[in-house]
Amino acid sequence: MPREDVNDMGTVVGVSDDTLDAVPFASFYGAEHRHVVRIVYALCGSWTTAEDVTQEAFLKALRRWPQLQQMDRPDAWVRRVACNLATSRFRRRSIEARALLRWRARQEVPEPQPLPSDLERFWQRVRQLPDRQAQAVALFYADDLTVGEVAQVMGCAEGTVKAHLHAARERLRGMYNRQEEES
Amino acid sequence: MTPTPIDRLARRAGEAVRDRADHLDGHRPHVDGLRRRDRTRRALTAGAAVTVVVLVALVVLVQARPGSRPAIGDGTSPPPSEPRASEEPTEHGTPKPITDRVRIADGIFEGSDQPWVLHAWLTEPDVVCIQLRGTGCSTLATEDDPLGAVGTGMTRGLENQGCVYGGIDEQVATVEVDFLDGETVTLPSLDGQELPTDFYAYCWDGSRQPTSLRALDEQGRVLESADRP
Repeated sequence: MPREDVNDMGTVVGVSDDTLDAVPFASFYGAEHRHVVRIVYALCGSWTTAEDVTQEAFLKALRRWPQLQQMDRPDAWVRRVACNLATSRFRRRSIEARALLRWRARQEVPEPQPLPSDLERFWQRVRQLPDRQAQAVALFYADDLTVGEVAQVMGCAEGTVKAHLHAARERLRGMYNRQEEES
Repeated sequence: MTPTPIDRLARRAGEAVRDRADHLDGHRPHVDGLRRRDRTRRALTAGAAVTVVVLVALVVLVQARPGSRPAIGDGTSPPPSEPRASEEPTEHGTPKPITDRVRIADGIFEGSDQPWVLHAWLTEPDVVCIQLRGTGCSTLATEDDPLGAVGTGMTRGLENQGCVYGGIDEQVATVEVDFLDGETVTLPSLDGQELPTDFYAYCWDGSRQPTSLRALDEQGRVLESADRP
C-alpha cells in the first residue's frame, strides 16, 4: 500500500499528550489521512463530509490504538471503518450534520477544485451501486489499491473483490448505455 | 488485458479524486485536534452518564418518599397500579371535602380513637386501595380485626405509608378505616369534616386495572361514582 511522507512528524514529537503512543499514532494518522479521505469522498461525494468521516474513523483508531498497533495492517482497519461509516446512511447523516456546523466555523480551509463533470458523474453513479461494490470501486480506483489490498480492507477473498469489481463495471456500463439511449 | 472504456473512465476519476485529496491533505486537522475531540467526546459521554445516574437517583428518591405511592402489603395483596395523573389528588391544592368524594358515616372501630367508616360499593372489585396523602395511617387490619368481616383475602396496611389494601368479594362493602395521627398531621374527628389532606380510593379488578368505585350513603344512594375504562 502506498505510504507518503509524514508531514507533521516534527511537530508531533513535541506534543504534550503524554502517552507513549503519541508519536506512532501521529505518524499513522499523517500517513493514512489522505488515503481515507479519498475513499470516503468517492463514497459520499462531499469533501466536508469526507473530512469528518475520516476524523471519525481516526478517532475510533485513536481509542483502540494499543490494540491496533498489534495488528499487521492497522491501515486496512481504519479504511474499513471509514468505508462502513461512509456507506452507512444513518451514521453518515449525523456526521454530515456535525460536519456542516464545523465547516461553517472553519471556512478558511479551501475546498479542492471540483471534479470535471464527467468524472463527478462517474462517482455519482458509483454511489448508486450496492454498498460492497461501491466500496470495492472506491478502494481500487480512488485509493489505487491492488485487488489483494482491497480484499484485506474489505475482509474478503480476492476472488470476491474481483467479482464485485466486475459486477460494478457491468452495472456502470449499463447506466451509461441507458443514458445514451435516453439522450 | 485492454482496459475497457469504463475502466479508463474509472482510472481517470480515481486519479482526480487522489489529486484533490492530496490538496486537502495539506490542510488536514492536526492530530492534536483529534485528541481534543476525543477528550471532548469522552467528557460529554461521561457527563451524560452522570446526568442519567443523577436523574435515576432522583426518581428513586422521589418514589421512596413516604406517601408518594401506594405501599404494598405483605405480598398477599396484589400491588395496585399507580393512579393516573388526572385522578391524583392535588397535593398542594385545596383539599376537597371528604364528603364530596366518599361517604364517611358514623362507625365504630373498636380500639380506635378516631373511628371512621367508609361505605363503598365496588362494582367488580377484588381489591380496594384507600390512600391518604401526607398522613400516617395505622395498620388497618389483621386477619382477626373488624375489617376481616367484609371480605376475604383481607387487608394489609403499613404504618405511615398512607395506604392500605383490602380484598373484597362482595358487591357492597363497608370498609372501616382507622385514621390515626401521623407523625405531623392531626386528623379532624368524625363525620363530615375535611381531612387535612386529600383522600381517595381506587379499586382494581383482577388485572389490577382501575375499574370503578361508588360511594353510597347509608340509604344506598350513590354519592360518588368513578368509572374507569
